[in-house]
Amino acid sequence: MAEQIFFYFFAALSIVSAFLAVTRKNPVVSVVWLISCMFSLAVIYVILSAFFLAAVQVIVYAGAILMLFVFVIMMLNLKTGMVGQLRNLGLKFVGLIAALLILRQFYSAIKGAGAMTGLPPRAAAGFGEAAAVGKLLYSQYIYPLELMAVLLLVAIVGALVLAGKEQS
Amino acid sequence: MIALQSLLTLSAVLFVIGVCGFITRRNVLIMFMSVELMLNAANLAMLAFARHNASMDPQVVAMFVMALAAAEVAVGLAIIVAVFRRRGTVNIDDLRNLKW
Amino acid sequence: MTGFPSISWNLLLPQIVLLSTALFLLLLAVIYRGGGRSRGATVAGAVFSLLGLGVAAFMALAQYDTVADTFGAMLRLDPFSTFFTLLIIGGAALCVLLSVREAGGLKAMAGEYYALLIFSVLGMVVMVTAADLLVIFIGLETMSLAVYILVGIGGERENGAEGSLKYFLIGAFASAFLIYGIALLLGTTGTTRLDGIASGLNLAEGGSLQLVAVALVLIGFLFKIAAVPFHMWAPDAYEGAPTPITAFMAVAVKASAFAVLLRVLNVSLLPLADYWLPVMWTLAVLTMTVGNLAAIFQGNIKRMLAYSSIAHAGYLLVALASIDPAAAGVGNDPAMASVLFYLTVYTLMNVGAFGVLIYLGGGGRQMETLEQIKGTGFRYPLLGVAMTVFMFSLAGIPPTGGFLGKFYVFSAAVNRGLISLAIIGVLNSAASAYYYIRVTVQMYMRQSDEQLPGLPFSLPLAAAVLLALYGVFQLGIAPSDLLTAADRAVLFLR
Repeated sequence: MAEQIFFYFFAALSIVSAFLAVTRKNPVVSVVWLISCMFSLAVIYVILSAFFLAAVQVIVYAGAILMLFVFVIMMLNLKTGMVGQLRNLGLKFVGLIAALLILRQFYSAIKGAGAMTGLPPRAAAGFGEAAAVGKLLYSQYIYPLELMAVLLLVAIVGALVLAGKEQS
Repeated sequence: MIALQSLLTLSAVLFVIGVCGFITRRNVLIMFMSVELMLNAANLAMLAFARHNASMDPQVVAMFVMALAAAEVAVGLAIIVAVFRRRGTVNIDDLRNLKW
Repeated sequence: MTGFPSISWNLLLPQIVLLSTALFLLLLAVIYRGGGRSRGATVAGAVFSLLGLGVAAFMALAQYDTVADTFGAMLRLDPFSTFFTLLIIGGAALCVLLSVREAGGLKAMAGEYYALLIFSVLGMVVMVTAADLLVIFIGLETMSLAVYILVGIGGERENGAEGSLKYFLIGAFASAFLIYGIALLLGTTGTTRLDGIASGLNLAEGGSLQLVAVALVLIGFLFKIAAVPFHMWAPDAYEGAPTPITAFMAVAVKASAFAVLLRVLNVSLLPLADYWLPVMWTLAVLTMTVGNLAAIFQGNIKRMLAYSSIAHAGYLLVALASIDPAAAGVGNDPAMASVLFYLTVYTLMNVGAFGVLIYLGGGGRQMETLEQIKGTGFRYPLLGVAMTVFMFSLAGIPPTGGFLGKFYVFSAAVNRGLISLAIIGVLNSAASAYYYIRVTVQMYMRQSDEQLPGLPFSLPLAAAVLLALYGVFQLGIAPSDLLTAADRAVLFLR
């Protein structure tokens, strides 16, 4: 029961934060709401017994990715005049209609999936802990893991090439 | 007991909020944050399935998605900084040298 | 439940060579940056890139007939993946030749330029050899991140960063769709392996969720091949990028995305053929028509070639719409073989056209718009002839390879009874001749307003253009070798 109360509370919180994050005018405020959304999701991950992923979610998303956003916003020193105003109302209206249609499609698809209902009452011991993730990551998923290392290297080189000071 | 459907619905709602944000906002930073939201929605769906199917694979894939998000953010913010230095704006409507 | 997967290292050799080359180039960049010798960095970068690509191609060629899995079947080597590996490496090598002058202009960044180019080739090779959606996704992202950066590299070009930003935003948006689709597929079928997905598809139970998942995955890929209505990033990115990178995007990125699309459609989604075949039909018509119509109104040749590349994606979608689900894995399917043939020809003629454009820009005068190339045909006769051949090939006029490519695609459509689709394709092709031949007309029939400067000779550029020229004629006159290889490659697609 407590689990359900937690779930519905944080589900609602994540939706509200997500909505506020994409609608705020000031990007800094958006980032704060996005952090709140990521944090609620981390709680839901715990409810789903994905303990390790919940920790990573907080460390990587809230700790690293969104902090990077904040740094960049501060570095660019955005004045409010440069931040997007409401324009192209027609386009946005079309976008919203399309998005609602997508949502409806999702909903009917999810509802139609009758065979999948409740989650199993409890996960096996060790499910979702760091050891379980690590074992898979370094055995079955070793190839994608190595590729991921290449991807991160590309990202580092890229960030330096694009944003680094140009040397004469 | 939490139904898989409610988790998937939550994930779908977050995904669609992300899509809406991307389509309607013109500030590239917020467009980019919307993409992050969409990636999180995908992760939520994956973890819900992991729990439901009692399988660890989706959790590992979610891990990859987080690493990817970090890489994407590094490159994306570098591009945004580069554009801002040259043009002094982060509003996509003002970036019209190339017809959008 | 899990053991460490058995690894056959020799199957990985091309990828290992590419990775080592890219890392070595990064090291080289650091060394040269210290000395400030930009010319040395450019030449050494190009030489070592070509060397690395050559060795990788040699390794791939040596195992052309190998059919094997490794890493727990995450990687699958067969003639299909090797065909595309070779095509991508070849296209990339031509783009390296085109890059020499552009990279020289980048000064300190030249080393990173080549390293990123090789990294993105590595991503593509991973994509086309992958037999697992997760690996495909990571390969796709490696390729994309490297290309986003290459589009925006170098501070001097005015629109590079803007093109890069738009490409990046749309690309990230598309990969979010792709990963959401992968999440749903993984949840409902329990695997990311391509063959596992095929057996896990169950339309009776939880089926509509799987349909949504498949749609999301396909949307992700369609963004990458710039099919209408997911094409809006392409013209901006193409125009903003350095011209060799534009060529690279038009040929290698497109080829690898089509390879993945072919594999996913044939291996995983064959049970759903009734759903996606009509979708491909519609997208083919839209993509051809929108691409060609928009190309007619472009004054900038790079932008025109961007729309033309969208139109060519449309012709390739015609072939995808003509796939015969009954023939998959059993006999050879002319529709699929025609995609491989078309992509090869397309690589050659596009590299050639961009090569001529880059060569023309060598005299210190910008040569990007129809206005600017007036009269160049007489001033530089060889380049004029080469450009004319490439334009004729793009328009699909015999005896060039472009004609045969279109011929095979449209005859595959006719074979499957898609007469109306073939007719729309031919009409589009005829309309496209207008804007291709207009380039030739501008080069020969008009006088330039000012004195045209002499062009410095550039061996790598000349080599790339001549190779492309040779290939376009060779494939137009004696296509049988390539056709046999393509036929054989698609046999292994399962």
